[in-house]
Amino acid sequence: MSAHSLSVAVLAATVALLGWWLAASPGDPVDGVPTTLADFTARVEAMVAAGDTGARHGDLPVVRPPTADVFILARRWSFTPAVVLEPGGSYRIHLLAEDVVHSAALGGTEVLLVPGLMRVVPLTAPAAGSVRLQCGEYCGLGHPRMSGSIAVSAQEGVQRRQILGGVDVGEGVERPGRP
Amino acid sequence: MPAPRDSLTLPLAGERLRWWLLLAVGALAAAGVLALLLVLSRTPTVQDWLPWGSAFFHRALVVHVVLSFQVWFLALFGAVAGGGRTALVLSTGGAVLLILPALADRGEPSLNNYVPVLDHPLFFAGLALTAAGAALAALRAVPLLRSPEPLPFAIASAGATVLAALLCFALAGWQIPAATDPAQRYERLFWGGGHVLQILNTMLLMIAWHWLAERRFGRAPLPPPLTRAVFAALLAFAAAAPLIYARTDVPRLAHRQAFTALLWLGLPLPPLVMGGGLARLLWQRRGEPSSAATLAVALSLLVFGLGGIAGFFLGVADTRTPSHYHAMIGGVNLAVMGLILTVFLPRTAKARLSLHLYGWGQVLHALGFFLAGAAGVPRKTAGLDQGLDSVGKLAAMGVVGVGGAIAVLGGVIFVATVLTRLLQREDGDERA
Repeated sequence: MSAHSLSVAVLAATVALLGWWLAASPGDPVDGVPTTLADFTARVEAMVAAGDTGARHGDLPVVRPPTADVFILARRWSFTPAVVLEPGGSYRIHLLAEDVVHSAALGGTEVLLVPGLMRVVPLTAPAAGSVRLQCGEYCGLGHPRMSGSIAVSAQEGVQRRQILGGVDVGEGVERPGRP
Repeated sequence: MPAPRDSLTLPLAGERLRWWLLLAVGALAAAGVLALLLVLSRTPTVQDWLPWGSAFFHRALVVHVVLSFQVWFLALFGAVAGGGRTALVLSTGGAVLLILPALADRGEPSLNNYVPVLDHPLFFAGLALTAAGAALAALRAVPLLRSPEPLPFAIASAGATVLAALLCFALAGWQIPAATDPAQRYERLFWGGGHVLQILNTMLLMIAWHWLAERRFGRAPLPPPLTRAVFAALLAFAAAAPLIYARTDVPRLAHRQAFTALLWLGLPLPPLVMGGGLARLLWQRRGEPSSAATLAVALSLLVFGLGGIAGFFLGVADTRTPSHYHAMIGGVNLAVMGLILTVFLPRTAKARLSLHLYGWGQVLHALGFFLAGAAGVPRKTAGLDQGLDSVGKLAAMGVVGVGGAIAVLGGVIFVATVLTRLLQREDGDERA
């Protein structure tokens, strides 16, 4: 292949890649559900009261959520509380930023967390291990250590069937794989 | 060896080049001193002897990153673009102002991506002067886009990329709401332009490859039309970057992801094509005695290639990401070190030693980070936060440390020998 042909090929590939990028540039995703901090905190506290295992993960209570709706508050620089999920269980992870903009890189997706707007991420727990929850938006000097704790382990209990029964995906829900 | 063909038509004066190189390598030296001071500021007993408070660690870290990354690469651009006296004075003044707040223990540090910040007027004045110097050098180079010769075209493309990056910074500053928290404001202010500067760094790598091969091997890695095409391809993505500001709001996640996608799609092909040409050239010269130029090019190809491969296997927030970008930047640095050591300042002492140490150290450093990340070690953490709970993780991070130390040693030798040469004001240096 001559240098001229290769040059044309490189430029043609560049035009195609630029076109792809322009076509695929993501639109702005769902903003989330307007929620007050007081309402969300009340839901977190109710979940902790109903599902507290008594264990601690650092300073955080470790909670086994009693229903498929899990409420986690993001603040500099933690996700509160730590949770334990049922293997294979289907959950809706509700997230709200308390202070500044954070993000939640949860499993294979990421959502931006803006104070006042609750985001809901559907999550199917793996068979074992843990699910990584990490802030992906720079939020201050403690940002690199802002990760949550989502462990997965089985518990014999009445709520297991309810959680494994699946959940509906409602308004404000970020679907997996969405940019 | 055939006589090198001098295709450069830029007005590169030896003395001006010397001052740009002094700024570039001097910035590395200052960054090295700051790195030493920030380690001492965390050393028991020794920290009590230092005149700075507990926040000095992060302040010194901010300035270390800006000097060793932005100032180093922008000064290198000024050097290859033949930036004028005013650009040089602005850039040098900017570098000095960037250092002052940290030494005065002033300014709230922000470790945001690409251009970390000290929230202090002197630091921002330093950034503004650095940007102004780079802009002037870029404006001087851009008219060479009309040049039929590949190297001036390449340097002009780099100049246009600098201008695109500065435009992105300006657009971000204009669009970010005033009430935005400082952490997110600085992150988003420098996110887009910071991405475009990675295109500039890739161009600097390819300019160094081209220049080295042409001057030391007697042949460019690619024929002229193809050289122009690969630089035009990079420039197309740099020129398209400001469009993102019209398509997405700066604070949104979509804005962040659009820049990530821009580099994913725009960066791989041009260096892959030129790297292929360079590898072919090295293969054809395999029977000839090895030289510092061959070593620099081969190590640069290896380290940059490893970084590129690592980029396709990144995790969400683990140390595979620093493995990727340390190797990419290491590959760029090796090419530029080779250009300085064998073309601008040939016969510099210990050239091969510094290249070996820096190159192989970077290989180990990146490999260790990659293995640690694959095992689940989170990035940007230290101490207990790393969760080094297995022999594999500990061993991988040990390799990171050893590799880093070897690379630093190579870097120190490079900086010391080059600064010595530059300050000796020798006659007869082969400067472009």
